Amino acid sequence: MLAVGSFFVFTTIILLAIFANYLAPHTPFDPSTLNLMNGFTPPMEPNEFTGQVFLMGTDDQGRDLFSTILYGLRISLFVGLMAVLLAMVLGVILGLISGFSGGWLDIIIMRLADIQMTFPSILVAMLVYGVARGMLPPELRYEMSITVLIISIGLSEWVPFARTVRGSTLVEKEKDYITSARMLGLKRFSIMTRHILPNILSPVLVIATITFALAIIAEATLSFLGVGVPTTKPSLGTLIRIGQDFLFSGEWWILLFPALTLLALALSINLFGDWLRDMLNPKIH
Amino acid sequence: MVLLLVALVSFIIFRFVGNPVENLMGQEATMAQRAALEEALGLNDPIFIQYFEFLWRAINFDFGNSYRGALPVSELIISRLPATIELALSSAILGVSLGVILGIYTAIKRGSIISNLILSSSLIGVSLPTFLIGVLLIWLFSVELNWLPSFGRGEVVELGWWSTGFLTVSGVKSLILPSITLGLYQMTLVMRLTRAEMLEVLKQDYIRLAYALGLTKRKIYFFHALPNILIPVITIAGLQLGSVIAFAIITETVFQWPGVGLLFINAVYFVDIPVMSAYLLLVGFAFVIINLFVDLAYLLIDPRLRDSQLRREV
Amino acid sequence: MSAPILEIQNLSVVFKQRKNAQIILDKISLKVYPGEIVGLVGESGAGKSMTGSSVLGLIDPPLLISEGAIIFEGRRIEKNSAFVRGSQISMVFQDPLVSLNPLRSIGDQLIETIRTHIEMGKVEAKTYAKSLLKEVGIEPNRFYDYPHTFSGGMRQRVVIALALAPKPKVIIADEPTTALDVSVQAQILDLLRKLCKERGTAIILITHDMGVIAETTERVAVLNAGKLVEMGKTYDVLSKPKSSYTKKLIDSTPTFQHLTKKRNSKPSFQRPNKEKFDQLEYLAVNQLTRFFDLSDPWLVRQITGTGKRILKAVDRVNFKIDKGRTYALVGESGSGKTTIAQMVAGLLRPSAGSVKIDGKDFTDVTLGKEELLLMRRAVQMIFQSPYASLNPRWRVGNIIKEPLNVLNLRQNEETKNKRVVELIEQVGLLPRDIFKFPHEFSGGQRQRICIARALASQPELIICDEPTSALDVSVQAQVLRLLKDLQKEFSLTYLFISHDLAVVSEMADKIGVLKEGVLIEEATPETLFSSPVEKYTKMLIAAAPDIGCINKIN
Repeated sequence: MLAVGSFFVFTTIILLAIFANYLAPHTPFDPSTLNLMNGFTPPMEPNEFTGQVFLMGTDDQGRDLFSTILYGLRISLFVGLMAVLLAMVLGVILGLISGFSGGWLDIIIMRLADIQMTFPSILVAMLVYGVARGMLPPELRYEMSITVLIISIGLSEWVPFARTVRGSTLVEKEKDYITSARMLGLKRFSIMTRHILPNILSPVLVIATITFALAIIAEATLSFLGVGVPTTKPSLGTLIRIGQDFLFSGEWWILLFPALTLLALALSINLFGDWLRDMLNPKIH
Repeated sequence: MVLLLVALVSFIIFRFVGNPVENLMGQEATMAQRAALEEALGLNDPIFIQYFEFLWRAINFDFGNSYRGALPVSELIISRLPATIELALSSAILGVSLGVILGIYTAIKRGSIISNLILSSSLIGVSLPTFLIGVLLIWLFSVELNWLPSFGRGEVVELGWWSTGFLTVSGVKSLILPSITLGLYQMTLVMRLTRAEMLEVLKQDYIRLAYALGLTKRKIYFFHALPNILIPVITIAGLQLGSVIAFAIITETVFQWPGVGLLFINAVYFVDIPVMSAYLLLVGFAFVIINLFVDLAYLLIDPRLRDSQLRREV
Repeated sequence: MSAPILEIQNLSVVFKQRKNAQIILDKISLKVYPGEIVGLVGESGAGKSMTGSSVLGLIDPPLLISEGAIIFEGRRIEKNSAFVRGSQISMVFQDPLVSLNPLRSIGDQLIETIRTHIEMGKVEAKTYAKSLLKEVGIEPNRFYDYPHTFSGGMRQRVVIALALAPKPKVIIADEPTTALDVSVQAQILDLLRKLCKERGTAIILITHDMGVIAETTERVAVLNAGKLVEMGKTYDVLSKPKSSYTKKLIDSTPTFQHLTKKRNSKPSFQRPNKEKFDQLEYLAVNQLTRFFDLSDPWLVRQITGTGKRILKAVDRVNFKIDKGRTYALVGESGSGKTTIAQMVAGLLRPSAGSVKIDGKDFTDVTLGKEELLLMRRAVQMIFQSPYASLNPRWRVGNIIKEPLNVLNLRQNEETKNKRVVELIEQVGLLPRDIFKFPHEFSGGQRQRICIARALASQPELIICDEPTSALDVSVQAQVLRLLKDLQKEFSLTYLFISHDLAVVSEMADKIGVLKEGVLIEEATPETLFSSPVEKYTKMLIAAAPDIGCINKIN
């Protein structure tokens, strides 16, 4: 029940983000359509100067909040998705190699993972982000910021994938169907891809959904801290950062709506992940 | 070992990311001036010698000067360290103790209404980013109710070089919201892990045997099950302590808490490399200390590990 | 006869989830008298463990007792068994390695159990605990040791001591020896018999092993699919079974008892169809040796001053198998039988010695690709657990076809598909089964799929590593028969690895006994069982529970 609901919420959010161009009543990034007079309009109330009504109100620059959220969702989802893919590919490959070949390769990869685990992912992301900014010439920093963000979050989340894949690989490779394949003289590579990989995919999927939620949260956090996407292309985190500034002066809606969207998104993904884990767990069936 | 590697990483960042000469002198310097500075900074020595010098200076708490403000990094860090440590400790204690208690409760009373309630709210806890929790708490308790301060440490008392907020009313009041913010996420994680481990252990044969031998439930839960879940819980609690330091960055930003995290985030923002690499070393050091304690706790709890360790020594 | 101490009347247990209820136990009735050992025997899913757990109220929803009564000393306990649990009725579980809390010393656990039920001071309880340890055959000075310092058999003794501590009147032993080696099993069963006699404790012995039933119990109840099939004196039930199920169970149980009698004349049955192969030697294992280096890394050894620790898993083993014959290796756990199988299969390099298959050395490094391929086609293997030896994500057809693809048999798709169907029919499954996944089959059917896969490359030697030890006896009998039939049809050579003497006696033409990596004795089944030479072999034969002994005792 909960799973169906969360899945529904999640797909709605995705669809809203994909069709933002058509659904959004305003284009928030086009300065020509903005009217500073519309600034700080509360939700569902006509603006005192222009008389315009906005579903979720406007921010300080008079941007329609509903539209900004839709476009912000796009950025959040895109960064989250790409980061998860990067982390997954990296983690699965390293985990498989580590689990199947063992020996010094295993030791090196796992030590690396241990050290990275020392630093929580958000810190790693920040470091990578800081380093990348340090290495890029200043004129590129702005343009590349989204790519840098994806790489930093992706690099910070590969460890859980690698650990899980390694663990499952170690279990699977002791099973007799692998021995049987080895007796046929199959190469390591084909044993890994044809026999082991299909059998370890379900935990990977579960971790991927959870990591997806984490990556979206990480992006929001970084943007909130001001080290993520630039303010001209606000993601949900950026919007919340802007909202916080106006909290004390009573403009609560600028904070509340992006925050609720972010919560709904993360919660629905997590609920879906929980459901997926139960579904794929053979012990429960 | 870990510390050396962390040091290596921070050295590499320190040395190669952004040209220190450029950073120190700006664009206008002449070639001769640059060469002189490179010589003075020892940048022409072989890399490994530079690394050892870096290590040596790190041991002596010398991380060079911050690019901004030109203050020694070590001074900056020491002045801000007490704030972060007090925040991290109070929230870690909050998170771990509540997490373990709730985890055990929800495992034992599986399916009851209260534990289902706790569990579903824990999922919201995991989905809520730390900064959002902080912002929402400020909104509720500072803006709307006006009970607690929303930023800073309040009044602090100086004890030598250590400044503590525990001793004044405003200091303690200021600590409440940041600690909850920081501790909540840790609590949900610890709770979910404790619950999962507890459920796993309760399925074991020795628990079934204890039942069959007629031991009371209280004895089974606290004398048979609890010790067996302590190892994973301590491991994760140790790791959590590390991540508390990281999440402190966020909390400190939200609450304008004058700690090391705030220092770091500004360093990232302004590409202040010496501060970044010093912070990295600090976190690595903290982690090594935590790990040491975790390992000692293992030996205390598990006789199997104790024996294998002893056999090594004999 | 005195009154029964424990009586189960019309006990039914259902698995209730939402609206559908599945019957797990169907009106079981059983009486247990003081001081007797009652056997509860059946195949997996018969409900024998469930019966034991229900008595102590150890079942949780969705399982529930739907009707019937459990009466202990005249009091009904099916609703509330807490007051008898431990104090009056106690339990011993199957796997001693996981039945003790690893973090607490055995003495500590004993004292805790004692003081839960008997009012005793700490010192007194300690003295009592030590006397219990002595009674079950453990040195009392190991009181403060932790479970991991004990072997499996010793741990089971500790568990028995725990169960005995509150002086219960009934002990329910759920497969107490299944996880143990035969020699240890015999000791534990002896201990249970002794306790039963000396203390007058009644024991309900739950087991799948007809041999254990025959050698240990006075009365036996046979369960099948949750129903009580037959109940009576063990001798009567085993020698004159009334129900067809019991009869089938007894017939499927392998026995070597008929071989143990010394014969003056030649064995009554010959195997004429195999005589003609006698000269053809197919597999020759020569001075085969394998060491495992268990020592710490070099640096650690230097610091601690410890030497190398080398495990001689297999030590200079020689044997030969003629074409079309079966050679069996028997031994307890750690005897090196699986290591030998892996070396013969080419999965593990020998430290020394050679494996010659059809005259060619498999371990030769200079072997060309083509020759290696030929070898791989010729040697195949069947594994112990049919649950782990099939890739769960592959369809059965692809599993069987894989050797055809990999071993480069130069066939087109159509021929290969035809061959897969042919193979699946040969092992007694249906052609449409090739589209199913392994989890849709039972354990016995899966083992048939494994056999089909092994046959795919038309091998000459098949290594069977405990091929039936994970199966129920009736299924075991079918699989063994299939293996025999296939051997006859394709003149296959088998290297058969097992811990079960009775199974080996039915399959092998020659048996080798392994002890700690050394082949200590080799003989035909007839000679080995009637006149074993080595002391260890004699002990193994004496310790192995065998259903045939029922005729000997009475």
